[in-house]
Amino acid sequence: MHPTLEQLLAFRDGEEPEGVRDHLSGCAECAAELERLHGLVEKMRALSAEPPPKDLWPALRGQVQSERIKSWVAIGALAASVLVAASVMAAVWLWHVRGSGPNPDSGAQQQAAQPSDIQPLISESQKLEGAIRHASAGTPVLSGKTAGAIANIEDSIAILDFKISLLKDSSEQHDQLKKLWQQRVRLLQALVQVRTSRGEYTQL
Amino acid sequence: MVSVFQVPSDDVLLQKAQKGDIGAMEEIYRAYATPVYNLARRFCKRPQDAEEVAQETFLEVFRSLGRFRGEAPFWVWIRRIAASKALMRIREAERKKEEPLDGKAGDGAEALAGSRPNPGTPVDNEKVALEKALAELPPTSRAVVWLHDVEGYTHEEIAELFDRSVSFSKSQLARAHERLRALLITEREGLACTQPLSSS
Repeated sequence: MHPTLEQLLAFRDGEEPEGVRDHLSGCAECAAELERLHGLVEKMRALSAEPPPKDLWPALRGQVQSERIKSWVAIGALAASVLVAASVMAAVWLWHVRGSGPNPDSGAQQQAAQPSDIQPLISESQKLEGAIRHASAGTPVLSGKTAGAIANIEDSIAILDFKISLLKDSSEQHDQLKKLWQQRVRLLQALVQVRTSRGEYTQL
Repeated sequence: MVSVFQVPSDDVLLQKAQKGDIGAMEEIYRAYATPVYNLARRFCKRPQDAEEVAQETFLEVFRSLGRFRGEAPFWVWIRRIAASKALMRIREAERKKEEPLDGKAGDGAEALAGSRPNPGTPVDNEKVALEKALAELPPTSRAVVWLHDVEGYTHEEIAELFDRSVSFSKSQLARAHERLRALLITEREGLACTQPLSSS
């Protein structure tokens, strides 16, 4: 009895199905079929390989880069939400501790009450924030690295703002407050630099 | 068995790509675009599906580069991703009832035939017949015969990829060869009828 096609294929692929070798030595028909199966593999391998009809790279590059930006934005958003949650919790805690509503030193009152050596830092901060708003308007798509750097700086500024909001401009805390405002100005300057140079511009 | 995926790998290039170097990623794409596209072309009915499979494959490769540990050669890793994406595509097609997985390939066979001879170049009838016969196979049989006979996958690897048994892979291969034989005989007989008579 002739071996099945499955047995012949197994023999072709190096297996030893029972009785196939002996059968092949005496059966010209099956030997020819085995030869044909070997030949077919070679013919299939010789079929021409074609490159993709169009270059897929530009679209792929765009997708890879936009995914990176999305991941940075997601990290930034997560960090921002953690900060907001922490700020809210701290504000509630302060309100309870002081037992007297919102911090009277916050906002415009706080700014107006700053002594002369802190007031210039606040003005400088406002000027830099204006420059950032101007640079952000109509900004093209940024590279993943640049978006990441911006998110990091903005996170650091948010942390500083939180620390500033907790301090009172008393004689004990004045130096600490001044240092924080100085740090804020430096970070804003760095942000202006990244925003205006646009880091690594990405043409999607 | 040498696979068309088996291009020399460059560890430095790979490390650069793992760090997010877009230039290195482009080099990887250029090196593997043809084998990935051709594997997808053997699985998918339409060229545009093969293009999408190639794109999905590379996106997955770039997303997962950080997880590549070098336990298998890089080309094996890419080929596995390509085969898995292409298989997902034929399963999707089956769900949409575009093309039966185990039935006849249907009217998409013509669109599937891999190589198109350029006008003016001599036509290799044997190759054209083989392309046509492969295109006539049901998608699963075609995928199995291609992975096993051309790409050198073992039956165990095919079984794992398809999430089926080794005997499934063996019987699919035998069925594919049975049909290929019948289709090639029919094609040869058809060609013999259309050949001009020899003048001798």
